[in-house]
Amino acid sequence: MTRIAVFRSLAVAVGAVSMLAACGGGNNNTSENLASDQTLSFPMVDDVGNLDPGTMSAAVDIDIFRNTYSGLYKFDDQLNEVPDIATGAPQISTDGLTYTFKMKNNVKFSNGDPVKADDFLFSWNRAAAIQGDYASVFQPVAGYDAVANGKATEMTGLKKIDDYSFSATLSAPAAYWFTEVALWTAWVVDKKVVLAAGKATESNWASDPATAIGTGSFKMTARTPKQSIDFAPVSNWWGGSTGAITKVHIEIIADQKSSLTKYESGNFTLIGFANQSLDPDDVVRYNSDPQLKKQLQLLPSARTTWIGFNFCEGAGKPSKNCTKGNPFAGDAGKLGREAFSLAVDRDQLVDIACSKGTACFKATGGVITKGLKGYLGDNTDPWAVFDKAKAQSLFKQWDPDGSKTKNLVYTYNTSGFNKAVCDNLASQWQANLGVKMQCTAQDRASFFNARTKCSYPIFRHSWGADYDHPQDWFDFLFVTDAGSGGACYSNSQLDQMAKDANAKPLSQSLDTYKAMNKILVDNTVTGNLVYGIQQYVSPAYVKGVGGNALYDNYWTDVKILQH
Amino acid sequence: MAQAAPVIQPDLELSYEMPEQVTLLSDAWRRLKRNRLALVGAVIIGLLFVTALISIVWTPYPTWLQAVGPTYQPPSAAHPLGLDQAGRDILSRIMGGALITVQVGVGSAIIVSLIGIPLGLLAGFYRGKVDTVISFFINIWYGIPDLLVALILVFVLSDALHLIPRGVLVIVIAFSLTRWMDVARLVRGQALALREREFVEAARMSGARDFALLARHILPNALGPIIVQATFAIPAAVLFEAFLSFLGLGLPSPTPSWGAMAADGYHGMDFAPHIVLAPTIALSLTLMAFNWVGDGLRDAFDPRMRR
Repeated sequence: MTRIAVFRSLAVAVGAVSMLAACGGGNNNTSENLASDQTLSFPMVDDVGNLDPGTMSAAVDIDIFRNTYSGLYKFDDQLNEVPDIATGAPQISTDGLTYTFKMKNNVKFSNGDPVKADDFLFSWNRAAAIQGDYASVFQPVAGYDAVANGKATEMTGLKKIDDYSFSATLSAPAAYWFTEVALWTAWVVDKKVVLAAGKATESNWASDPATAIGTGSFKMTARTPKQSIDFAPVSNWWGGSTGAITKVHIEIIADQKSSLTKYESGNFTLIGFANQSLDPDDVVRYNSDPQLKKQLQLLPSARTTWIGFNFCEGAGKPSKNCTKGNPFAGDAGKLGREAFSLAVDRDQLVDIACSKGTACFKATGGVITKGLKGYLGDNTDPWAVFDKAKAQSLFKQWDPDGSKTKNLVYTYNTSGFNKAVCDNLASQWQANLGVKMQCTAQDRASFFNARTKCSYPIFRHSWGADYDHPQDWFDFLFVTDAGSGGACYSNSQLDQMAKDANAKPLSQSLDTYKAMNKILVDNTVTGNLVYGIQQYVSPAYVKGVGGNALYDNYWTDVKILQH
Repeated sequence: MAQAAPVIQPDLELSYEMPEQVTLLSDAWRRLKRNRLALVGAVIIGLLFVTALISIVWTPYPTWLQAVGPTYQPPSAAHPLGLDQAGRDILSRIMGGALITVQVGVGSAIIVSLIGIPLGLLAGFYRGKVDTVISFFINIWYGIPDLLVALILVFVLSDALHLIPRGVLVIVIAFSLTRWMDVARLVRGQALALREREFVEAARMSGARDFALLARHILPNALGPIIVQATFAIPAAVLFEAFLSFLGLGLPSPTPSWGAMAADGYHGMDFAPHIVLAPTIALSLTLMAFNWVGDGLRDAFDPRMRR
């Protein structure tokens, strides 16, 4: 009975693959004639989590709603920051504290309301007051703390100059802030619509297609929670053409296999938009089949995964979060960190945990992902190479009797990828160092809660860049008491360098950031493992599918050719 | 002189053979040997135990070692059952999984018996309040969804309280604590019936104490059904462990549990079916073997099935 079912499934699968391969082979239409149906459809595993720019934080949500909202600036395909609603770069005072923004005067919301400076001041004050995950975007602005603490409703640093210009005064120089102004938290919302729906800090308006008003090229037209969301181009969009797509339909399908089946039967235009991925085995199948491979794009994404080492040397040392000492901490633990990093064959790791290199590639240039500013260059990390003999030698010096690694537990938050990485690390460390390590999975909330308190001696860590600025890595991960560090790493030299670099424009501070990255490498603060890959699957007749390291292409870039 | 009365000689032709005296176990074994399905099951179980024992000292490759060859490699001369998604040798892991299966199955059967037999004997022998209390608990436990409780037990004992590391022991304990009632109820019934039998009464009259009555007279005579019940507990425990591991809630990686191996290969079934087929076939054969042997033992110990 079981065998019959298995073989029946196999037969169906083989048939489906054959049909798809046959269709793929015949669809080499390179004509630019557009298909009559320009519906862009794709699946998502989970429903959108947050529809309000003030509280948005997930890459999934941002990838979708950057098509319906916009701000003063945006990132182009090469991740350069370019004006969007702003007319040009801000005027920055000589002391680096005051930014004056000038806006285009023809910008309208999707409901026709004009966009004025009042809307921006309202949106930014509102975002600071809501205190979403990325409210700290406005932390440099004078008066932020009072709004964040609920003692005021408006940041004193924001001043309207006229209907189409305003200024922001910072409490201290923060050159990176200009980059943060292009983030979703700084998108503009329609003051009139939000206040008509309720209090300024409420978000209900954002879930209702009738009131989810933005300045992007698309607007939400329908939404059934946990089932589907639909969008349509904005008529007479202020930014010009909205492209060829006439409708966007997103379906929520928890099972990746089911999504792919629907895609293969022609019910989805693509898979991969909104930070989605394929089932690992399916990516391997697509990548190994010459016909299917034509539909697959594997593009670098701005995420690095590394081995996190705990730097706590004792209670309160070097960080207030430390409760006890750890074998990998400080100078005493450096040999151990080096040994554990050198004992990992990253080619093997990529082959096994990254589905034969379809989900990630080996990290050899420091913790900042390849392609982002601050990357050190290929093969610049001497501890990200596989050297079993050296690893064993260092390990014997560090832990001659095995007491430091007895009952070693590597902890990760539950996910297929994290499990595969841990299993492979365990195998390699046992084979190359003789260390028997146990993999332990924790639910996401418990894991992050414990990691913030530096509870794990060795653990999974990764960071997906929010924007292309090294400050995003150091301030959140590596300065003393960084919120997302998890390692309780502390280095006064690095702290000072970060402070200095953050105050300067990136053109003047990039070398400093790279030097900071080099410090991390030299001290083996992170055991860098892999950089991320974003997968896209689409037929040849769908053009404009893809993205850069941080975002998908805009929907306006996509068009469906006759097929 | 009076003539002696003639002596009637017994007719030797009419004499008959007395039946051979056999013990319960030897009688059961004689009938079990006639059951071919049970014998096939016994051979499979024998192979399972031998494989498990061998795996303690030798497997072709370490069960945890990844990348011994290309991932998803189909069966070959070097790797007769192929390699899995992490490049691990499936034959080695099947062998390692056999040990886990034996540990879980036998361990659970022993603990289930250790809990169920004394409680069943006490309830059936003493009756009255003792029986009421024990039967009450048996009924309460029957009313609780065993799978759910077992899952919670595994989580609480290992992950929440950290009393027992996630491994075979916690699986065995969780299973046994939720499945002891079958044995207890069966033994209770046996004890209720046996305590009224003449040989028990005779032993009691000759001064035997309660413990001696239970240990020397009642328990040995209830042994047949107990063995059958314990045999059926083994595949249930094996399936329970495989189920938990398939869900990712069982033995930690890289322990070569057959359930976890099936889960690992599940997503690659369409292009690497060997990964999931090997553990599922091993699991199916094991479950069938224990069930065949259990059925055979039940028939062998059942006096109504005498032929």
